[in-house]
Amino acid sequence: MIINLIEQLPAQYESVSNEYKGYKKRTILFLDNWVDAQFLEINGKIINGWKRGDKITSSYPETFGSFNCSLIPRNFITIYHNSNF
Amino acid sequence: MVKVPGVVVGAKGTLLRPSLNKKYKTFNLPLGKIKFKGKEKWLPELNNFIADYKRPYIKDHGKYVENKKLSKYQSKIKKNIFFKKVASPLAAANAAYKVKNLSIRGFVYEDKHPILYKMSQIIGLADPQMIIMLYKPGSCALIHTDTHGGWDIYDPRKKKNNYKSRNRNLQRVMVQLDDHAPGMFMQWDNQVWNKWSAGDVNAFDERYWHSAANASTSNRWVLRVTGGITEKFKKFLKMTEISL
Repeated sequence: MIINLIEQLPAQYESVSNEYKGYKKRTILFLDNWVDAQFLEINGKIINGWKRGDKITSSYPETFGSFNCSLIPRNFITIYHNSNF
Repeated sequence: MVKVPGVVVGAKGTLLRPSLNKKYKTFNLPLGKIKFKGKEKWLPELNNFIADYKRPYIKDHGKYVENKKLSKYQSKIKKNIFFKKVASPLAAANAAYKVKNLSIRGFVYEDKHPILYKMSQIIGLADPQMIIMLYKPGSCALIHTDTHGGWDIYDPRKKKNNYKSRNRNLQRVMVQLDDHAPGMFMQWDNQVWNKWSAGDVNAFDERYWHSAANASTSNRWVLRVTGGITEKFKKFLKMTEISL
């Protein structure tokens, strides 16, 4: 299992990929409420409207990418794993 | 993919929340209602792109913010406090976060970009400023509103502009010049878009908060036309498919 704590500042991004670092799943745990212009896409679908504490899991080979175009930092945790949580 | 409570899985044009802009004139031309056909004709013209639309005001705002203590501004932005002394929260955020990954812009020239020029003429805005915008992978426009101020209508080839800043009779129209790729985003008012194809047209009230980003691995090209509202433009709005 790999756990990353990420602060995504305005204008920072994750390029679209399906790099799961050797694991089958990737879970995002949101640490802040969503605000306008915080983009997240999983397998071509837009994800938004999240609240602090929400999580979303994608599975290989689904793609994911994000971009923070808001004026405030976006904080989240990503977990690469093979679990069912 | 697992959907969890509280997370909205959206599609193109998803409504995120009620509009914040009901008090405005709320002009909204959704993506794809009008479409230019024939991308094979205009795509080669992008090879003639010249990045000659400079935006010195970004650097000017950056200097202003740096002179006023960067940390102070970052703190205010983090608290989501918009302040009045700089031209816009966008300019302040660009400077405070040292944003370098902005779109690159160049003017449309009739001889180098005849199809794009023709497209601009069909749109029918008066005295148009015609700009090609290139969002390289990793570039973005942070959320902002437009004022249609001096630089939004500036063209060095004209001796003077006929329009004053913040002229509400100006309208901006965007044409997506290439197909969408995963990771390309666009948002205005309460809608987020991540699907379009080459030739799709969109436009909206300039006072809507909006943003755009490219997290894909391909370039994103956009034609941006800004000019005065005319009868010809009103007829353009009633079109659906336009072959070039």
